[in-house]
Amino acid sequence: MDKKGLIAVAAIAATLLAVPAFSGQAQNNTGCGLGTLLWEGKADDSVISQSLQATTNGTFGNQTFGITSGTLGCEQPANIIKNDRSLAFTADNMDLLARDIASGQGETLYTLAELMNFPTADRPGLYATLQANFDQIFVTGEETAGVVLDRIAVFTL
Amino acid sequence: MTFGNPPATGWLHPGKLKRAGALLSFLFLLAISGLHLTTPCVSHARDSGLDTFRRNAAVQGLADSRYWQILLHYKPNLFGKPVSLIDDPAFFLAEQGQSDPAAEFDATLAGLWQPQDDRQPQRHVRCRFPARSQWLIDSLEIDPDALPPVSCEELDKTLDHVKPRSAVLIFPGNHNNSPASMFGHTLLSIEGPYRSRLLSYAVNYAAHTDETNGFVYAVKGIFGLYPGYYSLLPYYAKVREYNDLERRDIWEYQLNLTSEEVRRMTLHIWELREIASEYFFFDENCSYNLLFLLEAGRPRLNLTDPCRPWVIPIDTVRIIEQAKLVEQVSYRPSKATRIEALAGQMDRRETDTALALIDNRITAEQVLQSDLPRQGKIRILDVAAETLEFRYYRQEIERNAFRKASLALLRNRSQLGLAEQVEVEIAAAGRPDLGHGSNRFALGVGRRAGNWYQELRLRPAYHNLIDADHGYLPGSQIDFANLVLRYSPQRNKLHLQRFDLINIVSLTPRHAFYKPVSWKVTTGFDRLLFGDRSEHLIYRLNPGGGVTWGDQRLMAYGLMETDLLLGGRFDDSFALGLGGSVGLLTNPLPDWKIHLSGRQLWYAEHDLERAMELSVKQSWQLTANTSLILELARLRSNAQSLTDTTLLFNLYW
Repeated sequence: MDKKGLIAVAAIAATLLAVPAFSGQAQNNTGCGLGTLLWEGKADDSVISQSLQATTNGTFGNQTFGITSGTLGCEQPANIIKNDRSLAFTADNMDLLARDIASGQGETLYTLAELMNFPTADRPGLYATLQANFDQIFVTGEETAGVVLDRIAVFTL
Repeated sequence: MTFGNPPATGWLHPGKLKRAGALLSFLFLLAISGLHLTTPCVSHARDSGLDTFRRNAAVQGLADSRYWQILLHYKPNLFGKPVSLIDDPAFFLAEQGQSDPAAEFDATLAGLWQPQDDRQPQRHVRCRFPARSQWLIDSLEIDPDALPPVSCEELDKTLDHVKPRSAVLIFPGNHNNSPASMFGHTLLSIEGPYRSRLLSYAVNYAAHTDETNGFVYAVKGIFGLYPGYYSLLPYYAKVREYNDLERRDIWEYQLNLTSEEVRRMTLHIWELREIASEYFFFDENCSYNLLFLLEAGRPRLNLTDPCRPWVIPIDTVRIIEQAKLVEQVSYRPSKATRIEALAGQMDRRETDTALALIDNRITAEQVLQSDLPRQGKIRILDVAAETLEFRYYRQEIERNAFRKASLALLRNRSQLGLAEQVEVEIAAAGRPDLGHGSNRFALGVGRRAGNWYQELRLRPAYHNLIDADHGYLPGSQIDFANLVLRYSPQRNKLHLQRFDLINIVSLTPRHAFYKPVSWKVTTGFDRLLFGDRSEHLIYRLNPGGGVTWGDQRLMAYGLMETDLLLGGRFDDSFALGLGGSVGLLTNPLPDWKIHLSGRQLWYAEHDLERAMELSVKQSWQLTANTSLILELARLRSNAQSLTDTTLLFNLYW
């Protein structure tokens, strides 16, 4: 191989190495509990989803007017008393809610308190109580939004 | 370009006004007499009502009015004829609606008198096009009770859910390491009665596809081969997508639209539901299309006449600011920014403990029981939880493992009480709309190999490593269509020195919890020095990858590079090079920036075996939109070398 060929091979190899290898295979993350992702199919760092964002800020599929999302693919217990909105919000934001409850503060927690119409003056007390009882709200991490809200409701009485 | 002025002031000439007035009175009399003549025809009472309103509409010139143009997205084409930018036939009631505002107007008006179809009740014009219907009813003072009764279940349900009251312009910025986010993005959020902004609804315009080939996607996207759709989704979903998945900081600009204006805008958004329009990356993109929505809310705004053939999201933020729509600005740091801020507060021991925790070398219980101060334990558990989520979103860990680890961290975290309130440091980033303009024009003089030259540079977008960072990401560069022309007075010759189609550099410093790759890609024409001291224009594709250390104040980087050169000068018309570059980027003073760099590339060409470049670039910011740049470069090809010095005055707009 001549010198030019050698440099060509080295250059191509270097370029290939420089492009990080991504699998791009999305996992099935819909369902219930912690780790439920809202952007399934987009949840990878692949070159594809990067280019998607680059050119068009695009999204896959045709879900255009989703007033609520969340509870798709997640079986809820039959005896739910919560309103639709707090249920969908909890299902969609389970990870952040768990983190806010564990920290005793955070926007997701404040938003849920607002959705539950909890009296403003009593909210700091609620946050502290929920934090202290984190391990009674999230036991397995597989709880549905309905179960989480039922357990939270116990501390709002 | 000014905003808010009527587009054609010539119209308001007093003579013209008088004549128009006379014509209007005449038409009005005609309309009244027409009404009189048709009144006796009782059997056609419904049609006659319609006819009357038709005539009134003609008298008022409603079909040519600005609001009708806004609602139907009519813009004059090359011949000055109005054509709607929306191509989907479903957006129009008249067959020629896309290019005939009057026919479309007439069909819409007639549609109001149509009884609701039991089989497709939601297709009735008042349900499908509520903004148009409402405007017609208001403008012509139509008594809604005189119209056939309709019930719009879907629309009412949506309005009841969203309860539009106020609106926010959302700007997710670009992230340093994502080629993806490039110029940023804009969307709107419609706020209802809730205090929490997370409960608002995001209105987004984006291309939709199932294409899985990134390259095909990029090309088709740029040339408008994908349909763009508006979507309405809970804002929290968008926040998580941009903040957490894509690691983009979000800027929120509260708009001063009244609740009535926001309601009108929401009705128009409803009209755009499931309507396809071609998405062009450069002009008819997310940002441009959102401007129509604002006009639909407040018709006296004139935002959609672009003064440039391309629209960059941050420019639309500026357009909206100039139109005095912005009331308040807030900032939502991305997950990457939050992790970085936490990492910055941790000492060596805390960092090591957190890393051990993340790598499962110790447990969360051990952290809780250690002798570290309480706030230190909180920082460790918080940064571990954020990092864990981050890795899960990147699909580096499985869901079950994530759940287990997450629960253990949070369970222990919940026993530590509240963290100290620490605001994430955002002063360094700065509001993106207050950064330098994205167009750059530069004029200067220089000396290359002992010859004087004058230089002109023109760059339509966007930001260079040496440009002032305020409002931009330090270490990021996206130069697009950067043109450099040089004129040599001695030889009386003008030549192209450089034309970068794209020149992207992304330097992202690594820290304990996040180790991104830095990279660059340049492609375009460049004037190259050869070993026989001649200079020739070549085409170049030059990618590279490596690492960066440091922070926003001082960054050091090293990149491996390859270089593909095309030109008649080479054997086989091409040359391939391999090498690397190192550099330092620093801000010794807020307005002073220095970039030191060295690069060496090896090729297998007779008159280009080894090319080296050492350069010092400095910029001094004079005002937000002007600066001085001094560049010193030493170039060497084989045994030949030369020095090139340039002093430039930059103007951004």
